[in-house]
Amino acid sequence: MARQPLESLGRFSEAGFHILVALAEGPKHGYAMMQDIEQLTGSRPGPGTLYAAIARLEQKRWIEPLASDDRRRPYQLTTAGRRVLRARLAALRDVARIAQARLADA
Amino acid sequence: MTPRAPHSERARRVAARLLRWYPRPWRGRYEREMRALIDDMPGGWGQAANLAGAAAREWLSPRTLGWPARSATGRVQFARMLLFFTSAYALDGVARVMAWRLRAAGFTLTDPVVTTAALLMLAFSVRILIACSLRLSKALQAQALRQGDLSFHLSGWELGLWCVLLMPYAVVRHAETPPTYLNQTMLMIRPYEDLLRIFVWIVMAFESSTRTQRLRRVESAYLKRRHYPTPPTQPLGL
Repeated sequence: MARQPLESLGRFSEAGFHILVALAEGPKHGYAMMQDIEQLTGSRPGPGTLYAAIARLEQKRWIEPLASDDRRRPYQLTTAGRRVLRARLAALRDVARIAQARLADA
Repeated sequence: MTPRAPHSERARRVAARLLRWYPRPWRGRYEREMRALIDDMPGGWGQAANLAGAAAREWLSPRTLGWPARSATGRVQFARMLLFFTSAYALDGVARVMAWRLRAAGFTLTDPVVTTAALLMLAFSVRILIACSLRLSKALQAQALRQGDLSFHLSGWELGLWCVLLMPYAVVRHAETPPTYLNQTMLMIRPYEDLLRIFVWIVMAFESSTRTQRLRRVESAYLKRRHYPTPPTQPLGL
């Protein structure tokens, strides 16, 4: 399958990437995303950073809000979001492979 | 004696209050969720600082400003702003040429000419300051907007009239001999000061224009409607 160039997906912030990774597991609300990101990276994003990234991802239609009676609104990955995450992970894998090869050569 | 609130609790209250700093459309869409998040997470001053920074960034974001223009009204506003600045600096250029020609022809400024030009400038300043203060007064603005009465703003014909009336002032300003108390540095920055002064007047005139205010209302309605997606209200039945 031809890989979609990352540039065509627009700017990719770190917080946005972490949110996509957190939501890959299933729908989560803001605080659950925050806890998941903390587990993944060791640092917790601020509430402002988190919601700025959520707004950006929602605008790009990579994530979507789910209906909720509670104040905590869960979000889930869309099909486009899943595709973008796969493309990003593939690119990171390539970079990691090359970096490891270079380290082994040195 | 009531026990002193712990720092985390105070930081949480500050963080919740900081949500009011976000643009209105943002608050309409995300405030409830963010408030829940702030209630859930452990409070800290870092979180409050993060919220303040994010709120400031959101005000500068294209989502809020529609800049670069994401809507027809945004594009119209941008084009009008360009037109205002281009016209103002072009008229200033014309005034500079006229002043230079007058000086070359040996024309000397008389007191009545200078006084008339200064009075015209004073009249414009008073007019625009009234328009700006009325616009910034929330109660009056809200009242006027409700009634659709924008008469205190500057209409297109009035702006055109002021351009004509202020030409003598611009010519006098460039034709007059700089005061003797100005030293070399002050003389050097004088042309730039003129450019800055024109910029400030144009911003004030642009903001006080009737058409700008109408377009702002349309833009604001557009931003509320379009830039923050509305979440579903009915459960999707996961």
